[in-house]
Amino acid sequence: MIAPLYDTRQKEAVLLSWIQGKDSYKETIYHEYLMAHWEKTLFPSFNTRTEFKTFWYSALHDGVITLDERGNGDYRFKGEALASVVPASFQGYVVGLTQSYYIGDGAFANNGWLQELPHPISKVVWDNYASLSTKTAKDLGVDMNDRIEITLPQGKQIVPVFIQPGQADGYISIELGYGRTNAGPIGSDVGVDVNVLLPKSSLTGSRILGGATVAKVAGTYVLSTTQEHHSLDDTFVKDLHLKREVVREGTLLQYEKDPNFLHHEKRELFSIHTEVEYKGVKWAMAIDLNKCIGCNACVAGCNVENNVPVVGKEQVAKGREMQWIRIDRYYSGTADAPVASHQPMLCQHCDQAPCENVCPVVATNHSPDGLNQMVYNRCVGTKYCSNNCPYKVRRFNFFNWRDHVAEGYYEQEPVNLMHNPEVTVRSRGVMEKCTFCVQRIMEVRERAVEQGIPLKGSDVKTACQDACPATAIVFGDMNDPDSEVAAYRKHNLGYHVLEETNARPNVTYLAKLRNIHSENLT
Amino acid sequence: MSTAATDYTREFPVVEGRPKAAELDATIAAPLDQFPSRVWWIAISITLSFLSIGAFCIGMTLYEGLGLWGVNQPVSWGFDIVNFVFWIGIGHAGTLISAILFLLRQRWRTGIARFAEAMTIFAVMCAGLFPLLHTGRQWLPMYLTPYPNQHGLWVNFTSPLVWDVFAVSTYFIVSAVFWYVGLIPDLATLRDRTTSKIKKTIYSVFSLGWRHSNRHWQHYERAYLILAGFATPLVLSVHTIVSFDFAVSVIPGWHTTVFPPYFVAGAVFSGFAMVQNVLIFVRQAFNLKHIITLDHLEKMNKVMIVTGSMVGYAYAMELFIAWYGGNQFERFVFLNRALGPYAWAYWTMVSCNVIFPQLFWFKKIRRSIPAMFAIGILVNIGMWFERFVIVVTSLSRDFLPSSWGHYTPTLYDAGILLGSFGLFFTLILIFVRVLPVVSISEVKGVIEGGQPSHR
Amino acid sequence: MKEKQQFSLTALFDTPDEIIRAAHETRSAGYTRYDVHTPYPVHGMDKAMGLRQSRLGIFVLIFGLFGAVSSVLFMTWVTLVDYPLVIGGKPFWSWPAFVPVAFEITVLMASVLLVVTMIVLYFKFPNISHPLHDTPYMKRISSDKFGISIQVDDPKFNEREVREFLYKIGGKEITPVYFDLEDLDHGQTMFDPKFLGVLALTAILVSGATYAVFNQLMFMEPFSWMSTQAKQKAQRPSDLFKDGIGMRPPVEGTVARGFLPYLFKGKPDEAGKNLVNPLFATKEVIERGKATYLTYCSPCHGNFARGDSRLRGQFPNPPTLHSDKVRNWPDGSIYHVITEGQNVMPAYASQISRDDRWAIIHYLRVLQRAHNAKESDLK
Repeated sequence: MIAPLYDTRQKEAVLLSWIQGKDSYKETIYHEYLMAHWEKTLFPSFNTRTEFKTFWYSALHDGVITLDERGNGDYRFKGEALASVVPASFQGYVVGLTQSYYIGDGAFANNGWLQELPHPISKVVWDNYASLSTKTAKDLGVDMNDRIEITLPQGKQIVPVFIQPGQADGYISIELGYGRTNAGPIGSDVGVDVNVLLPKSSLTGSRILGGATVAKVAGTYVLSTTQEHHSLDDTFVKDLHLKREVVREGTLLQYEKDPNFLHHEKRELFSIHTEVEYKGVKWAMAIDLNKCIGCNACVAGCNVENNVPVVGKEQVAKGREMQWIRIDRYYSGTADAPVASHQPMLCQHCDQAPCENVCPVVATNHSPDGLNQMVYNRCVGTKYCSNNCPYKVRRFNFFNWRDHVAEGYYEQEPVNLMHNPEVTVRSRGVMEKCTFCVQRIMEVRERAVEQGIPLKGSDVKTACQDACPATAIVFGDMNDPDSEVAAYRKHNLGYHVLEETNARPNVTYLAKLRNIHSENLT
Repeated sequence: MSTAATDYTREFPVVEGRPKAAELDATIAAPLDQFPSRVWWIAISITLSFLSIGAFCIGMTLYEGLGLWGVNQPVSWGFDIVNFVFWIGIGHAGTLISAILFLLRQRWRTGIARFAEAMTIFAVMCAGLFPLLHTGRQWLPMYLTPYPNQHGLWVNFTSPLVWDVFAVSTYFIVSAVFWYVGLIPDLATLRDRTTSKIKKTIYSVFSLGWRHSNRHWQHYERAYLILAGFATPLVLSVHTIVSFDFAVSVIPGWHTTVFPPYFVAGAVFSGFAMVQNVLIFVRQAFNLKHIITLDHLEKMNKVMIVTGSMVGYAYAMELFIAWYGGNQFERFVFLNRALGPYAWAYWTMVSCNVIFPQLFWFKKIRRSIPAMFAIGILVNIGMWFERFVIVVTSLSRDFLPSSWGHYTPTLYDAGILLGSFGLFFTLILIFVRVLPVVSISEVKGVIEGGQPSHR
Repeated sequence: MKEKQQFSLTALFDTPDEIIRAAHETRSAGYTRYDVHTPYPVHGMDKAMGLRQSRLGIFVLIFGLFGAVSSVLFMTWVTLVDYPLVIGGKPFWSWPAFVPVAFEITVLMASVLLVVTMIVLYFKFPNISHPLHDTPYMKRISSDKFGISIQVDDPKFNEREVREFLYKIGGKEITPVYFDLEDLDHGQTMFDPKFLGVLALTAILVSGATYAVFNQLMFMEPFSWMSTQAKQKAQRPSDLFKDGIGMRPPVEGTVARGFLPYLFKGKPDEAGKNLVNPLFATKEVIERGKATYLTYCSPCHGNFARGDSRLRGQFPNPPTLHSDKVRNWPDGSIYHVITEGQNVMPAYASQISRDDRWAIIHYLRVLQRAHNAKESDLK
């Protein structure tokens, strides 16, 4: 619900004013029409004694009314229907076309934030690509960033290659929604249009198309990813995330047998100086890796909340993406049967933050409630903090990104209005990072002060926490023994990433338990 | 090559031949009096064009932002800091020659001290450029200094970058003062021998009215000694503090206690290579072969073997500690340096810094101008790559494999590096035309018959 | 025209041996106001001239200590007193980190002040109007000769004797040196118009440049201070909406979560009948009601709701809230009055939140009870 933008009219209002005749237009015309309609049709069926206005307001307030629409069909499961499901058999390569996770069928192509969300598995941004298994790629004689031409009866298209561990052999999956030619300053000419591979008759039908012929074509096309791709069989880097205990995992069986299996190797962390005490509220986060599905909703939510700039494909390729939270994806196992682990990684707000010690201008320091805060105006941009961050979660404005992307699209009206007014828009030369949504903390604190009640940690919800569909992220006051976050911190499965740097992070991860009933997990 | 000079049982004469004091004046001041030669004009036009390329790249960086460089996440420091450490290192040889060798009563330093000190100052100027440029908001360098301001904010005294600010600026000021104090008697000499009125005015102003009074010499010598005494720990502290930029951090490959001595040795190493390279040209061009003798160059080469071996030892020790310490992050970093994506840089560094300088064990090579020149250049390349290896490889693959990245320098990075060389050599070329490249008063004091004979 | 005033008598020598001997002789002869000039320091000259050791070392000690102590005190004051900040979980006073800065400041202070002391205090430099300056004698010294200058103000000075003495010890080119008359006449003038002109020009240039750089240049594109933000700031206009206002009230007719519109507009009786106080009369609620009451209600109704505030007489008198009428009102009616206002009392809906209104009612009930306590309350 929004007031008319510029001098515009709502389309329903336009239609109504045509129906009702000259001079009937007013801004509330559709509102009144709708109310009258409800009063006439829906309200009587409720048979209540309240006035219509009361009914209307409560419907608006609740956002929902319950109508009695019980049908009388048969909703039981019909086993015999399974017989009609037969495995399809295809000749040649099979092309699977799917909607993009983020931009759908292309409707959201002009949204830079969505374009720049890394694909949950491949971490590719700003592009679609032909995802091949290692074996298929070998058969075709192609490597990453090569190009292949896919030919189907209805059309052909040249698509860049991405080798995806775990992909089925002979199957090529490509995302739809890319290659739009007139989608706006952001979305035009991003990726390739694979709609041409769809048969016209089956636009609503199956998007798994067999019988494709595939051939390598000359030239390369560089895909941008937010994560380097380390070969799964290179012993030098294999399973480093497990060896370094970045991601800790176990099996359900293991946990049932010994719930404390993570913490047998007791590590003593000591300090050579007296530690700072946080007497009041102390903010902390916990992330349950069992719940995380790697969907990137937190990243998108954070982008919007915190005015995170879009940097564009070339800059992502250089390693300059700006997202404050990222989902790290690690593979273990083999290229044919990889085991993927997801780990949301954001500023850990360490108690003994390495970044703070090295900032020459005290632009980053600790707040009394345990936040690692970043003072943009003081920052001169030495980038030392980022170098010294073991988690590499700090982001630097190498350019004035809003000025730099799509000829200043993001700083022109009306697009600039999407920026959260509560959050500073950072300019070039400034370091930034996750603030634990300090503006939300402050809002809750203001309210608490205004009402004279103590600040309650669980009243603050960070943007990533709000966005998480799996409630994997918990935020709150760790000094409150009854809070959920304190319980997570004490949990058997709780651990901190890179504990041995003694940075004392305030983000607790809960180790993932795999229900594979085997102890073979590396 | 005289046989006397290669007889190591005797100290070689500091100045060859028996020039008279007045002849020395003429020789040393000659470049100041003549119209520059064609070679000089060609040289300065080359260096000025390098400088203008650098200036253009700097201008673009100021206008557009650091994004023009190759730096990224995770490698937020690239050529900028590499160049900074490189140039600071070059500067160290000058102070070493002028201060430490002075304290050690090495009389052979007199011929090369002035020039080496000038190089120190110019190198620190080049070095100082990079910390200023590498900040994202180059228009706020004052935030790095503790000055009273309306924010009520000071600086973070625990940050090595603040130590750097103090160390580098102190180093620059003290070096410049030291250099200037040494110049005062020479400026007086120039003042008294010049015939041009303008030059006379300028020299008069800068020589402050020096009149070679012995009542002044007395304090002057004491002050010079004290300054040398201060410059010695200062020069050691500067590169120590520069190494703290890395050693104080938590990044594997940076977090190493061996860095301070290792950096100081490396600095002297590269500095001597640079001084040796430039002096080869200067002694040739300005007819100073009897003052900056082959023996001088040989001694510098010997210093290079020593410091080069120290650097080599540090490389070996780093590897050993990485293995012996048993820290998996540390081990990975060093394996990654030698075998990872930047292995080429690592092996360039090792061969240039450790292997080639060992050729100086052969006297023939040590005394052959072309050979030592080539090795000097290799050493400088190697030392530049040492800083590259330390800065870039450590950052590119640190703790979390997910945030690893690759650093690729851009043309702007290269342009600014070129520009810093342009600045350095332009300053040197101007220096050799306007000031005596050899300390006149000091050399006069060490020529034969320069001191009373009864002692 | 004044007569030439002599400064000293000078003699030149060729070798260091000669000058050492000459200096020794001069000293032995009892001259005190003399000086030896050599193009470089000659070893043993201090002894020959009988000079005491330079005292510069003491100055250096003082300057160095000053640098060390002042820098440590400054850093202590900054981190402990003026602006303590938690940085990396370290104690405020992290003294090991002060060592590098303290060291550098010590060296800087000691060496720079040493040179300044030497030049200004000992040498009395800059001084280019010394009589020896720019003399043929000085030109020879600058090159390769050594010289002695015995000054006229020496108590033993006697032109003829000194000349003979210098000759005896092997001095050549014995020449008198005179003061420069012009320098003697004028000295330096502070108010020389040329000097003042240069001073003024410098002042204008420096302040102009400072203004241009710090007030103009540094705020020009591309330098950014983040003062202009590509976002809608509070109280700023926006072209997006027809009325040009950037801050938006909720759209007419919408209902926000937790904010049902007030349904009893103009219906006090129904409000009284239908509304029930949603809060319990807990201590916190009553405290909150008290605070709100004292803020919004007491200016008219008085601190104890007796209608006796200091505004009495300036407006139509506000009523006491202890009347039977109000005491017997249901909570809903009072709520309605606060929300909608009554007679001259304005509506407080926009100022007092709903919960606060209900809390006020609880507090009011407390006041009423206290004012009209029953026997049983005293127990």
